[in-house]
Amino acid sequence: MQAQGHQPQRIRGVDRLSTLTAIAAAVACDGAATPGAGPAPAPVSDSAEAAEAAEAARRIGTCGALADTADPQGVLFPIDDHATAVPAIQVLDPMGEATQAFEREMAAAGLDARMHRVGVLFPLDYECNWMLHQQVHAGACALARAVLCAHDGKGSTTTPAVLQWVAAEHASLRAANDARTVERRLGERFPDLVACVDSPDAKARLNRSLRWAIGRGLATTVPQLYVRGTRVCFEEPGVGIAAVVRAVLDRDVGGGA
Amino acid sequence: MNVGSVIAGVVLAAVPAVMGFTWVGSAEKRLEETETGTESSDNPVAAIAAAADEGYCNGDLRKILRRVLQSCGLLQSGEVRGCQPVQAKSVATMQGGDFNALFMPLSQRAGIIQFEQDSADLDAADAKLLSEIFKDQRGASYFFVVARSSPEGSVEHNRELSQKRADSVMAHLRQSFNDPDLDREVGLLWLGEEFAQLEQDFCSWKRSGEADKCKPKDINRSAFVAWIDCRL
Repeated sequence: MQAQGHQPQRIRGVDRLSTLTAIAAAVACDGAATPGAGPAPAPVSDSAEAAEAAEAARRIGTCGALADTADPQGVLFPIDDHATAVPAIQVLDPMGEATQAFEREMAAAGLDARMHRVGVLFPLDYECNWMLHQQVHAGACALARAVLCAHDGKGSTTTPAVLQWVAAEHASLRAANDARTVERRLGERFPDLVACVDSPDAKARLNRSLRWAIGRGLATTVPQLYVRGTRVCFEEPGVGIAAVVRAVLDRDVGGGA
Repeated sequence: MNVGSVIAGVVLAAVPAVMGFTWVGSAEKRLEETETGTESSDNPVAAIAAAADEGYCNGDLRKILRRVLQSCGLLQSGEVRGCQPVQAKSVATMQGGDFNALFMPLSQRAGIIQFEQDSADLDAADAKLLSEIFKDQRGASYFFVVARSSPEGSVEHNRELSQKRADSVMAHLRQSFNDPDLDREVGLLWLGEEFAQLEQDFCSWKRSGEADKCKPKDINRSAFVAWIDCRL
């Protein structure tokens, strides 16, 4: 997914180190400091990194697990083609700010390449998600259906193409805050998917994704990441998300998460 | 360098950092609020994904649902067996009109599959409406099929006919949808001509029959189908 220019990292569990990085980026973007004119960012000490890594490792396995990763109804779709990497399941809503920020952080840290992720869609949009009683991400249901339609080969568009478009247009799609506007723009960009996105079949297919989450008692939070079934702890503050994911992946290399 | 210059330098250096912390902090808070399905910041624990449980799921409907599903074998064995009229009457322990009234809130969720006289075959319009309603599951946990017959013919024949109609609906679902949960979701009742005949109030509901074909005998040659948005 495409990173957005000057946005600091906005992820749950942002730690002091990554907050400092974010501040440096924000200050530079705002023009409050010019290169060479302001104070240099504080160097990150090895001991601080080691402490963060240790804390991240301590958290492994403390946030629950997926008891059942089976997919009898075919709700999971591949997010990448890293077939030999560590298998992971991600619960996502491409319209979500945190999902997009997560993608940017994984890419920036080079962690996306270390995982073979399959996704399960959980749009926070009450048009299709009965668990919400107020709107969170207008248009997320249509976007999720477009992802599934692309995955099912209902047009010439591929799943990565849809995800990349959402990443690039995310800010303006969210700013519209209107499902019909999102659907219109989606249709303009991917006319080959329009018929599928509006179809009862696609709605039923997305519904099965939501029911997959029910069957496994998942939290109604996005994103969530499960590496070999173990949930990666995002929620607790104090450790950066990249550090937490890295710790899980390092443990996997060292003998299993 | 005098003391005043040092203090001024420290303050100037600190301002962007403090502003940055505040900005990032508020962004994180906003993210916490917008990326979960929880409705209120009063409850910091994220909700757990769950099936729908709509306001129309009153005590009587839930009781009927539970009893019928138990009598149909659905809740115990997880397999569709179906309920016969005598079982339906005993589990409902209510008048037919009261039984039907429980389903009135489903007017936007249900459909009435109308069969030809003495037939249990689904025609194209029947199959289309049935599929359309079944695809619209949303958060519902149970799909009810309540088959009936009009009073022509013997009671025994009409029991069998309504059972065939319920079975015909189930066969279509099994054939059309690769749904591994089907046997845990679908509750079948066949009422024959004996219990809870549909009144003409139901003529305005989604039906597969022709618009002017809605006399009592027409609308009871039918299977009432609906997802029920109730948890047990």
